[in-house]
Amino acid sequence: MNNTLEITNLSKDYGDFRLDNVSFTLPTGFIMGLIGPNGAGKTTIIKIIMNLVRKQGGEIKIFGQDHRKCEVEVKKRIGFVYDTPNYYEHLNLKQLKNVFSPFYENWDDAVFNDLVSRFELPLNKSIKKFSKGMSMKASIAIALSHNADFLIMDEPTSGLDPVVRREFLDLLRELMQDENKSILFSSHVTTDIEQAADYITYVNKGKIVFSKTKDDVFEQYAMVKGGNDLLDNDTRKSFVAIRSSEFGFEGLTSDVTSSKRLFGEKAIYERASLEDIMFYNNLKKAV
Amino acid sequence: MNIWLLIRKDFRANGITQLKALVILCALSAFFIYFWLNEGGDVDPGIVFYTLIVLLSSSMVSILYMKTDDLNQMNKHFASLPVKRSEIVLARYASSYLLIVFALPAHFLGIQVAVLLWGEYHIGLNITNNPSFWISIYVALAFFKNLALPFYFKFGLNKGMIIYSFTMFMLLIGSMFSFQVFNPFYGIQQFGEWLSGQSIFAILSMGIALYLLLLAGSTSLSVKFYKNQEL
Repeated sequence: MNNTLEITNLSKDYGDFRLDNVSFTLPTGFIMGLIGPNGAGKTTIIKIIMNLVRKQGGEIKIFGQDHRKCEVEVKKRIGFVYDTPNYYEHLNLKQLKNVFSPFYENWDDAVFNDLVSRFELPLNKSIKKFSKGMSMKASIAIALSHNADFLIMDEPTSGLDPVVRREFLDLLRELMQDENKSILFSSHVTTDIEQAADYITYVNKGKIVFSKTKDDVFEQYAMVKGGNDLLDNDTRKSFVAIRSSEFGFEGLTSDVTSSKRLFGEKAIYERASLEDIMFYNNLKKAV
Repeated sequence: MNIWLLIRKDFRANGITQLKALVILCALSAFFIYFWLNEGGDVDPGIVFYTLIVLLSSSMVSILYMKTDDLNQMNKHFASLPVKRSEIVLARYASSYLLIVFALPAHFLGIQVAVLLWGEYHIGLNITNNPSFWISIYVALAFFKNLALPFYFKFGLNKGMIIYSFTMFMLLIGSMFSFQVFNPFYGIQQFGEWLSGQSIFAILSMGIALYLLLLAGSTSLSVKFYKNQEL
């Protein structure tokens, strides 16, 4: 299996924040969701991949090529969406397209027009009159119109209403019918990642907590609920983190099989959502 | 090829604003010349004021499009395109020079409009209608651009302009101080005499060589700064 993105031991030190030996791989033909709380390092990782921020250590390969040495060749095949889709406010979308399209040999006007009509974007209205959601849709339309093999998107669903968000996720699935394409996107909306991603990379405080297939993540983690009598110093250690009240406890386990062996049928086991996984992992760090 | 695309982008994205700015420059020159002629058209200090106005306003036109890019955070977008950072830098130099090339004829046109509409030809206009006046202005503007752009690529537009202005002010104060302390007038006078003894070709060659040296130094410094810039 070929890899579209390979990151090995990536590091960057800002003094008050540090990316610490970040490594993960995105195989070609898959969608990876990058999750993590605010300030975890998601945007920094994406900016380093795009060479907008310089790395201090490690290696990044995109399509098997060094992301800095072959920057131009690599970027020709990348579609990129910023978290804040700012463009020339005085231009309209048609003019904006004319600014960006000449930079891409594979720019396809038909694809652009299709996306514009699909997103119901006005071509002749100035960008400054666009809502945040419309700006994000415009940004996505521009990023997708040169038949990129690799889409990198930083919080692409922020500012989109649920209907458009769903449309956007459908669009990603459509794109993935071409098995040569890959997508890396970060999002706070964990349900989007759950719906769309094949791989999930969880980053917290500049470190990778895990980077696995979605199926592996949901097989590994589970929510366990039960009475407080089940908890003692030993059983507590089997959880990532626990919240307990006078009525009982609920906790996240990263080893469902061990938990089932430990508590048997005295506890209830539920599928952990990505939000649960993020929340309890964060809780562990806080404790 | 990418440099050409980037230059075209600057004009495509800011064309209307630049056109408006050029109209303003034309009007500025027309009004100044009109009032100057009405006041009698004394060469001194009128021409000094006019030279300053042309220098500052022409410089502003290229700052204007950088400001638009800055306000819309477009530098981040362009750095994500399949272009090298060095190409972005060189395109910015070229766009700035081109805008100066457009700004100066706008001023010249303003003078002709003023003469046509409001006054008769005045002897004071001999200076502003001389090509060497405009060539000198262009050389001065290009010189200051070469000094200013590395500050822009190092510190960004707003901070860069402040630091550049402060540096220029300190250089001015410093040179005035050194003139008073070291009295280098004798040396300058000697250099002037030596220069006036040279042929036009030799002076022009020296000027171009100096300019190219400054341009090479300025661009390589800007490329170095911008390559390390975190966007």
